[in-house]
Amino acid sequence: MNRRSIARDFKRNKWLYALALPVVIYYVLFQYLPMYGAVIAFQNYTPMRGIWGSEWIGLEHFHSFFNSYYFWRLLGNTVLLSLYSLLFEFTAPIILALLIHEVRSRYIKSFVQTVSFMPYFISLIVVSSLIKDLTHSGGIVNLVYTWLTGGDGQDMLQQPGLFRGIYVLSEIWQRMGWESIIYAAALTTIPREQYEAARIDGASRFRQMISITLPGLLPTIMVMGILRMGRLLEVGYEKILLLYNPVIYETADVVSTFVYRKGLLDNDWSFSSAIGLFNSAINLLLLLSANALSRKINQNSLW
Amino acid sequence: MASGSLLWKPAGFSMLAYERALANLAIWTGYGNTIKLVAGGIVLNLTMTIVAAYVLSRRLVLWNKLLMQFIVVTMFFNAGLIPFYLVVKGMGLMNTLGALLLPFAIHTFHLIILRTAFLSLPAELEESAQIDGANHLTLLLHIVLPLSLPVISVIVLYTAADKWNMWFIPSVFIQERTLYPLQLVLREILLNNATDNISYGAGVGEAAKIGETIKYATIVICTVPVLVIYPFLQKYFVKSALVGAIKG
Amino acid sequence: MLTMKKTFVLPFVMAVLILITACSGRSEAPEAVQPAGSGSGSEYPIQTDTELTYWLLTQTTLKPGINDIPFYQEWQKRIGVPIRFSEISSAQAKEAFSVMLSSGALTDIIEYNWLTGLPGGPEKALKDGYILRLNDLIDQYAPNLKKYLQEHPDIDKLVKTDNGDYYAFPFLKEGGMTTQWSGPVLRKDWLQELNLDVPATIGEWHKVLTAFKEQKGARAPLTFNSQSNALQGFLDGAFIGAFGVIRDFYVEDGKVQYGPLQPGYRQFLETMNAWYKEGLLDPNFSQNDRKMQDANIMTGASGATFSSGANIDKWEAALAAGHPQAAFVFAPYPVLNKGETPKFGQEAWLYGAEASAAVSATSKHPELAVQVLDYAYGEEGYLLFNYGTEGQSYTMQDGKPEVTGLITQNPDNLSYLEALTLYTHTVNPGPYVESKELIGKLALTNEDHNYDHWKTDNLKHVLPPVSITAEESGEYARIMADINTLVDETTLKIILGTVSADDAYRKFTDQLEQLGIGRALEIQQAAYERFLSR
Repeated sequence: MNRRSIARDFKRNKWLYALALPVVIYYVLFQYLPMYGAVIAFQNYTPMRGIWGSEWIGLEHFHSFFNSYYFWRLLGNTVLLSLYSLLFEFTAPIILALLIHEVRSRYIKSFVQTVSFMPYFISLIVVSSLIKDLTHSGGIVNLVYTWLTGGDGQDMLQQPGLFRGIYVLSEIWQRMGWESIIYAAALTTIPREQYEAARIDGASRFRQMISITLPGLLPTIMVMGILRMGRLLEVGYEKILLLYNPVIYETADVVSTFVYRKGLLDNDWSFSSAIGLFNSAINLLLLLSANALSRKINQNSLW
Repeated sequence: MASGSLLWKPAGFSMLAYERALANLAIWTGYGNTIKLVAGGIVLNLTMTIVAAYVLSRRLVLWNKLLMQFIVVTMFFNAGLIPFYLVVKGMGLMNTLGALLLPFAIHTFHLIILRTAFLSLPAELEESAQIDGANHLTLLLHIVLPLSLPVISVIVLYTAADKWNMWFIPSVFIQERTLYPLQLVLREILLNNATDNISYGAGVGEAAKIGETIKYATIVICTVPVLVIYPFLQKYFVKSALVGAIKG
Repeated sequence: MLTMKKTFVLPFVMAVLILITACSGRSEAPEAVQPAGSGSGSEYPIQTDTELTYWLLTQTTLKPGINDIPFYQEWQKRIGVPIRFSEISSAQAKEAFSVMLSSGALTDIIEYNWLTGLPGGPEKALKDGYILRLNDLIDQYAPNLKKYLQEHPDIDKLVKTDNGDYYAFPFLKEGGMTTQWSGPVLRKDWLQELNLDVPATIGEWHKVLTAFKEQKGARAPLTFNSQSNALQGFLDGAFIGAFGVIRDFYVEDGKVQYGPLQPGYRQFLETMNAWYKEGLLDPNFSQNDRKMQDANIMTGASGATFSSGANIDKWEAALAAGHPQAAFVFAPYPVLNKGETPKFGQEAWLYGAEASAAVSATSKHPELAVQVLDYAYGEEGYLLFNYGTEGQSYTMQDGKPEVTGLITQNPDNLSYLEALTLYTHTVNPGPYVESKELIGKLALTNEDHNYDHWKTDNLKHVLPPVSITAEESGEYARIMADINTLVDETTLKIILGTVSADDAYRKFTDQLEQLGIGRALEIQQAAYERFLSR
């Protein structure tokens, strides 16, 4: 683009530029400006000296994180929990949307939707409190689990092996209906004629789902998948914070909860920022690769 | 299982816990703050997201791709809480509703959804409108918005739920108990460790009266209204979401 | 398409541009302490329009905000200085405190645990410039506190750093039940029914708990409240103290030791693991909040616990309806062999660090803040903070304050403690002197509820309020953060049987060494020696 075309573009779209202004200001102020604050990751930040007055120490915090006792465990837990979420939590809404799509009765459709959306409106605080009560020894979920596995009824949130399951299942329960909205909406854009043509050709309903519905959903799935990939290292720490305890750190402690403890409980702001920065860098890398991959495979891209 | 979980085995139903929970003024101020938060959030986020999505969905603008990257990057690369806090504090937003609204005026994920919806509108509509001399405002208000109402209603509900559920950010940005949104009040009551490390276990008397049941009474008071209102909203919302279109 | 490089430069350029404009004019240098004004600190009300800001934790959830609490209304009236409170729910205390510090914009007065709440402790807080060294200000503007500390040199030693710096207006106690209030308790009626004595040794406890389980059907014979820490029930030294250790640093013959490194700690873990396996220890012991503990006790699922004396009155009252004979008895802290004196138990120093008020270094009115805080340490302040307002919550009888019916039989149906939290400051920690006499009346005492049963040698063995030097504090905090994670995790896993003690201990001590426990011990030893020579 040369200078003249910029000027012409600006002239032609001056109102658009005006509209873009508040948006750009928002992103600069609240998204990019804080990024500059991330330089405290390279310092021993002392608030009273401010960001420019604090002592610069280069990559020391990164070194000490990479060499820290818990580094591999944190990374492993984060990646595993994310992969589980990707496998189950990401696919559940798609399956739900497909199933709802297949239901003929409008009343059943609407009923299933209402019920499956509802959990999303129960706040995290309440949900965590309920999860704790239900999995406590003597809680109903615990009773069922004990009955099925013949265990000793120990508090399920004290068993490291169960945490990921509890976390992923509760996430699915809470978000499945909600996240299926996007797919449900995308499904409505598939032209009806396609189904009719298939029916005339004698394709079974399952056949139709595989050859018409799924391909129709694919672009949406790809976009959602790319976005999801970029968050591989970013599991929902708010929920983990409300659920975990030292006994299950072994599986439940993830990078973001570690950042939280370091930064807000131990006041080690610089160290915490360094870890956060590392986390973000990995996320960005994953996003860019997923996007590139997607473009190569089927021309889908976020931008 | 003598005590088990009281949730499933109420030891005699009693309205006392509800009376006590309702008498807690903090719940009402919390409700008030949350309603303001949700209402403010819907107005602000909707305006900003629509404007942003509109700009980003115009095909003629040279800078669009760049702008999109500029925006999407922020979804994945954030500076962390402390730097973010420093900025919000620096703007004098601490202890105001603004701290919970302005920094979250655009949810990039919502923006992407809305933009794809705008992009999926037939290009001819727009072109013919422009030939008729319609400016961007007319185009947006009279053509793009009416056609995208379903997706917009999705965004409204997304935003409302987000704001309703906010607790972590308020716990950091609101350092004044009377300004706490409902979720924080709830957390305070559910944890109720207000006085645990304190020399005498003050509030012991409170606990005696409150007991385990008040916890559930409070949960019910704070959850049921939403669950009751929601199906009514949902009736419109699902219908419109289903006739709407969100293309990848 | 533009190359990646260019696209990434743009936002940063923008950010920097905005920053330059945004930052100019934002930094405010803290004003130096102004020279003495009136010079006298004891004229109340002070009569000024200058508003002070004050950060503190929620005192009670009975009122929506702190300005609705009668005590705070009266206090502000008496001191005559308008105060703007930042009231923080204690559920968010640590996080809120951390972000406030990180921003460098502090309120004039901050009520917090300045001794252990901030990693690095008071010397770091002073050195990093968060709070003011108060020595000169106290000399000039705080005659009441100055007098009190002169009269109590033992307390004076506790409330300053090794350098002799005062850093906060301390929460002080007069001993008795203000410093010692918790211990092991059991159902007395069950003991009587089963013909058992109050247990004193670990062996006797085992017998009693087994009987509770087998003959009284207790699902969780021994329960704990673990709300703020998974090991809360043991942190004060109950049960663990029998093995001669605690889960922390302590002093043995002048040498600082770390409990988890000692053989006694492993014995403790193995014993608790055995109890857990036999179903004597509440399976949810590390997860219970206070309400779960209440429920366990009130439903008869548990017959023993660790608790403050005030709780017991509440439980007896609650149980009375269904089980009129239900009663509790205080048991001594368990020991291994009969006749031993318990080494550890709950007993606090006369300086309770949990809520002491510091003056921030950025305050523009430090002398006013000091004057405001000093009120509590005078005679009038003492009465207000402990007994409330004369004629309202107390009256003078024979020269002694006595609480009125407003407190004892509250017309709004508030309990004794609830009424106290509204009309006085007592019961809640804060910058004042807590009255031994008033607190002594809080809980019923009789032969079974005798606080002397809970006497231990605790203060001979736990570390006094030592201060770590500012230079060492960062290193120490980092070491201990990792160590605490490891110790909590290992401790709980062994007790719950997730790993066997044999397996865990194969690595445990090496891991502690690797994480730097040796260095931490060195730092604590030095701090302890500096404390002794104060």
